[in-house]
Amino acid sequence: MKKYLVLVLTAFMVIALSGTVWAATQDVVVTVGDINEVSVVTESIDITIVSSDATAGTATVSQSSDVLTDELKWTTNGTGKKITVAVTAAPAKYTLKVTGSNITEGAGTLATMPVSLNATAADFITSIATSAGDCDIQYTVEYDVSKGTVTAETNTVTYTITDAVQ
Amino acid sequence: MRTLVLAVLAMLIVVFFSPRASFALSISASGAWYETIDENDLTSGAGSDLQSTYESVTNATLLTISECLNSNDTWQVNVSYSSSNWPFSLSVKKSGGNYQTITTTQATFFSGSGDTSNIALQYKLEGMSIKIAPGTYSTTITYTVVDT
Repeated sequence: MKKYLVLVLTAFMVIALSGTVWAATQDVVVTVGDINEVSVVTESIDITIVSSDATAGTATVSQSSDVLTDELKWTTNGTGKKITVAVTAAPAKYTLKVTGSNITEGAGTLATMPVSLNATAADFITSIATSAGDCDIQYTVEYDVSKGTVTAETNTVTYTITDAVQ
Repeated sequence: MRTLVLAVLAMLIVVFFSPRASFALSISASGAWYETIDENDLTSGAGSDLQSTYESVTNATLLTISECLNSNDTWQVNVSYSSSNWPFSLSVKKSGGNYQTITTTQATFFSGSGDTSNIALQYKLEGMSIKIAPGTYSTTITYTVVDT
């Protein structure tokens, strides 16, 4: 009996001599959305072919833009992504090609270059995962004189970041 | 035996009527912080990473300490968080104070005395990047008040 009384006494003494503790809680909730962004720096590039670009005896004339440094940029927090490229409508009298180079290390893998532009999207950069990167871009026009003259045409090139497996 | 019982009763009376035995001290918290991260948080658009640091509003949480015995009844607030899926660093500060990193271990946050209401707290989140997988991350912060 004495033993129990001592235990009870001790317990109450502990309570009395220690501070009482009360608690309140708060939640912090962070939602990270899917981020898949791709953009180009230069809005418009002109490529002009003139007669002096041709070589006598050769039907094909080729002309390229300057290399546009760090032209294509992308960011994704996803995995298994790729960037495709397409043109609104494939030009009838010439071929339009794009070459990517100097890609940020670890930000993806360039497809076999150059890529011919068509209305159907073609792979441009593959194996993209949780990265931010950029690469240089150069456009090339290949024209066959047998197609006749071409008046100025505007081609809208679209880069899209998408799932590699759809 | 009777003497011992009387002694125990006397001690219990002392305990329950002692100023130290302030069983009524209370703490409550209101508010919360919900942060959504998206492409608008990229530091400079495509090709860049997410900004790494985010701050809540200055009064994301309002703490109230109440039921003190009197204005001289001193207390201490401790803080900790718990989460099994929290990849960030989280800090908290009182208005005008310095940020204190919250850990899973209870740590002294601030102290005071008497009933005090609407203590405004602000949070800071660090460690965000595009390497963080999309999803929802949450943690529960626990504030405890200790009668000192």
